[in-house]
Amino acid sequence: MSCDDHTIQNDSASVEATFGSTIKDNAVVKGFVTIIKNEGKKDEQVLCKNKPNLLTNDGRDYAIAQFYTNTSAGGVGENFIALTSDSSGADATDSTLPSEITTNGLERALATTISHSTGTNSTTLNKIFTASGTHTAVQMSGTFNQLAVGGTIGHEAVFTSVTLASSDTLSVTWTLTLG
Amino acid sequence: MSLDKTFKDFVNDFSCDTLDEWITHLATVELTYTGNSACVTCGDSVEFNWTGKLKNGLTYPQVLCEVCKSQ
Repeated sequence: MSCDDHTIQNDSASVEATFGSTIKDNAVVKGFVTIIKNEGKKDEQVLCKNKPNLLTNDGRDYAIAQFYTNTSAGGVGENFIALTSDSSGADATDSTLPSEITTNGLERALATTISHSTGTNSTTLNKIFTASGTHTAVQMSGTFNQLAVGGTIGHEAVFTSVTLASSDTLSVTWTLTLG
Repeated sequence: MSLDKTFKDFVNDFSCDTLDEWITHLATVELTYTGNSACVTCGDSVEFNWTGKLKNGLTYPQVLCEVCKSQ
């Protein structure tokens, strides 16, 4: 089936089936990831556009704890963005981002943009990383609830592998929906 | 309309499954956006509470800090 066949369908059930392989067990929380190298520059490269992400099992548990089971003050949102060159792929059972990058500008960071539109179920996180050294085969991103390595991983998404030289930028945008 | 798709606008009774459709929708309705972002000019962090139609092709507003706005 071609891409055109998908885009002309209005049957939402078919769309769900298309996304099912990556977010099948966490259908209430969905999201899309867009990652662009050197956005706005002559050598801009879109590594993935509006790609469905994966909500990890830990992320689902964390959300449930915030909503239903915590009996003390709530936790920090899953608004820290991390990157890795690990090629094992996104996995709902991950409790860390494997081989998370911790140096040269691509270390975990608080999203620069955190935006929610009132009356909708949509939230956007964005961070533009600037490499301060060479990074080879960067290909997966995740969200966490703290700045330091560790914490609870919320989402993961794989994108086209990319190598960054010093001063290259990587714009990571998570558009997340809840409910 | 039942709001049974991925993106939901409860204010305007609209839902859709793709981000492109959602961005198109955000350009047609006034919504209130709250959060933090970097000033598009100087990069300083700005807290915003902005209401309007989002016509920048994004899902969040691009903001200016007070200093840059006054220049």
